[in-house]
Amino acid sequence: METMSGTRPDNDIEIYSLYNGTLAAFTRKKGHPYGVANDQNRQALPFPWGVFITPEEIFGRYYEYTLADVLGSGVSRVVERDGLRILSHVNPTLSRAVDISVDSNGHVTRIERVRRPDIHSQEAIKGIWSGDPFDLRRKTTTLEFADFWEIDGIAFPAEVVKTWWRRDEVTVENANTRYQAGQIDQDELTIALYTAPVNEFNVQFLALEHARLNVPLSEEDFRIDWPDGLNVVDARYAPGPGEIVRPPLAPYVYIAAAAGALLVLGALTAVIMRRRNPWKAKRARNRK
Amino acid sequence: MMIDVHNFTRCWWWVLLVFAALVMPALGFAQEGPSAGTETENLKKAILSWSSSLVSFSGTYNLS
Repeated sequence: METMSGTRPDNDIEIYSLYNGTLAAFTRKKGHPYGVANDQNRQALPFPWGVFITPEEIFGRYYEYTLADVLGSGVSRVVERDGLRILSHVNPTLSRAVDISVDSNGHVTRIERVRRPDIHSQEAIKGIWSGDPFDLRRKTTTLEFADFWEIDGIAFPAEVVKTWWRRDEVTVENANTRYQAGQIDQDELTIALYTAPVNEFNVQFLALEHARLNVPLSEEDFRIDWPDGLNVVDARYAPGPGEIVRPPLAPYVYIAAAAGALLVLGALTAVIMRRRNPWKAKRARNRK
Repeated sequence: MMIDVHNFTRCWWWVLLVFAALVMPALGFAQEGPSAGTETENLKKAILSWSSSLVSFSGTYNLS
């Protein structure tokens, strides 16, 4: 379960609970509360992976791969920059590259997702690239960790900053133009693309309030305490896309419908009984 | 075949070799430091140990 309360102006709330493929959600946006329960066969929370900083991402998960998956095969090396040791790893099989910085206390202080030239390109540009191969990289996201708390025996960062990077498009376009004009060759283009400056286009901040790690959880822990009076939509019976939403009926509607049905039933019974009793019908005709 | 113990023990360089191979590394004289490969593997192991320590998370945090 993720509970997120931010500093947004109207104090919006989003609570998502995913347990064994069943999702429940409570949101309050601009003062309008909304609840959905029993949304089944969900594989993930209802937003794309990476939009929110999750504990799994802090511990190295990136989309479908854990850090163990990425570090499981490929090529690693250690470089030192700014007093930090950086494990730089490329996994060609999964097409993933990651640079992980570790401080003198052994804390992982930064995880950078990067793109690097493939092995063949790296070999080809050795002759013309005099710099450190580590610097041939293009950052996509950076997670920076600070203020480590020791929670249940595990170092957990209480402050996380996630930066999304985008290549400087002018530099990239210039390089491509020069390549197409024959002014630079393929290897020089590779160097230009992987040394192009990057600009941040989104920065997210996370401040931990309270956490416990590795606590045995049960289904009860994933139960959302719905606010009093909230009309919770049961996703199993909710209308599908394009279907009409039927407003819930008040109890008196059901009572009136039941009374009406009884009246109709009684009238029908009376008619049938009258037709089946020939003596009564005959007497009635004789009176006339 | 009999081993000529007398000749064997006279080979003083043999003793020196054993000393160099076993004793000096233990004292730290023969190593300049961990090799690059060992350092990389140790760092990777330490990162993976921390990374795999999270099983479940329960808590709240602020996002902005």
